[in-house]
Amino acid sequence: MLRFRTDLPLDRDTTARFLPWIIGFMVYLAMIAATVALLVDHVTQRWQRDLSGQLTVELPGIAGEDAAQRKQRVDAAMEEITDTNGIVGTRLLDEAEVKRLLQPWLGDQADQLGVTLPDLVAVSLQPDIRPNLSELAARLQEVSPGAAIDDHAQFNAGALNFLRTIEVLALSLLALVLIATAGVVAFVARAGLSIHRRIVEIVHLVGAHDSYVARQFQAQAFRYGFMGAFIGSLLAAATLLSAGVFAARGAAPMSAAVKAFEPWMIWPLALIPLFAVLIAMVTVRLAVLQALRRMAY
Amino acid sequence: MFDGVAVRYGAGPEVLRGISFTLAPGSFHFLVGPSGAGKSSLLKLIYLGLRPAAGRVELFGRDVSVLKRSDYPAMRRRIGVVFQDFRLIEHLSAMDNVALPLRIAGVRETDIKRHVPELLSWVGLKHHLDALPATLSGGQQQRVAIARAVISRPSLLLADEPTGNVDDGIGVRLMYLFEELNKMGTTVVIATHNEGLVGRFTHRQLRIAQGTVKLVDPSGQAVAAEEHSEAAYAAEPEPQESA
Repeated sequence: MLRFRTDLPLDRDTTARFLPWIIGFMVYLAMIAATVALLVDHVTQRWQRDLSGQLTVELPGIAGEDAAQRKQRVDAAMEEITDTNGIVGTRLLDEAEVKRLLQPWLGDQADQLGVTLPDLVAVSLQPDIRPNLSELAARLQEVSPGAAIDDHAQFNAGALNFLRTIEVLALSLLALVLIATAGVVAFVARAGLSIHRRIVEIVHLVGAHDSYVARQFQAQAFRYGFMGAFIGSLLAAATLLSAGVFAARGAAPMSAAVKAFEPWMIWPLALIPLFAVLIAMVTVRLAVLQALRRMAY
Repeated sequence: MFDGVAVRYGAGPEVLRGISFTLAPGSFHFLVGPSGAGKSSLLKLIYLGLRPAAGRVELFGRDVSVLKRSDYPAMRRRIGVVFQDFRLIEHLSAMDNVALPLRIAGVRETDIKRHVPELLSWVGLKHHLDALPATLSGGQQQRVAIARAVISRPSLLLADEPTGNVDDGIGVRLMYLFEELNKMGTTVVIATHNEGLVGRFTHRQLRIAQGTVKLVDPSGQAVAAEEHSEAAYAAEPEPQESA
């Protein structure tokens, strides 16, 4: 497969024999790292978009208040919210929804605890217009004492920071893997040049340019790079498909990550093996040309 | 053209010194002298395998001291060299070894497949086209090396002991090949310590002894340097190059 006629017996080098497997492993790691980076970036963007367009207003219950007074207070608060510039929608959560949201803290027996549940208002914001929340908070205090606005900023910032860290780590790993690939390929090329020094001298003496010698190493890098890229891509695809199947059945964060995978993501991932082959060829050319310039012949 | 050239390996003593001579285009010279006299070093200077420690070497009208690395291939393609140790590429067949200069020069495979077997046949290796050097005798390897040196019809042919491993019959036959090339305009320099062989031909000699070179005619008389023209090299057109 992919045999080229060369004057240098590069295929016989023991140092080069493992190159397809090393490149394959690097491509595998790079594809996994890139998939993680893509998924995290996609989830982060979607999450950021969803949360930045919403906030929640909590209207705590007031002791001794009857149902009519409560409704009047909540209606007044809803009116204040609706009148605020930058707010495009409000929805009062029904009691079942509130209980479900508070279930992690109050458990299933919230009714028996004698706790007055707050009223929660889900507020939709107009994109690109930030409402004056401090002014709204002051107005809400007047109609519904203890009202609190949760714009998810604190949670949002912490979670986004965490996700961005994962993304940066994944991208750093990707860059390191590509640099390591280039380093290994350059080392193997220099070793090959050293092993075949005598033949390189002969081809120089019969009139070969440095680029003629470099092309022979490039041809080998292309062949081994292609084989490595094929092996790495295959293993990465198998790993990602298996992970997808298991994660889809797993806990919420994992299944969310799997669901975040979109068909367009295949294209940047498919570029990685091609990029690895390109890196191998360019690195070999530069390494060989640099080493040849130091040779007497 | 050599003018006051000296050769030294590393920090060692000068193995050649004060070398001055001119090889006219189309000339035929024997380079003679005892083993270790510096014949190979002199050839190395000519095929750009060595830089002079002092003096000036001019090749095809160009001062080699100002040549860039990228200029070397074009110059070397005009020089055919038969090395004393043959320097064949072990994993390539006789056919591929001889084809090497043509492939490097970008000659078409159809032409290579026509010319290379013809030449190998001429040097008596018709039935060894696919043979690896290790399976050939010393004499056969030498003939492959000679075929590789002459396949691209060089302007200058250098041969270091080209008949050292062949019997007299083949040795003379090879010398006739060199003379044929010389008649077609190739400048030929044959380094040998075989005085018997030299005596059978009427060519001038570069006699090398004690680090210096003396130009003599076939009778052994010194030849004045002025008798050698160098102008023709400068006028000689360079061949088209393909990387």
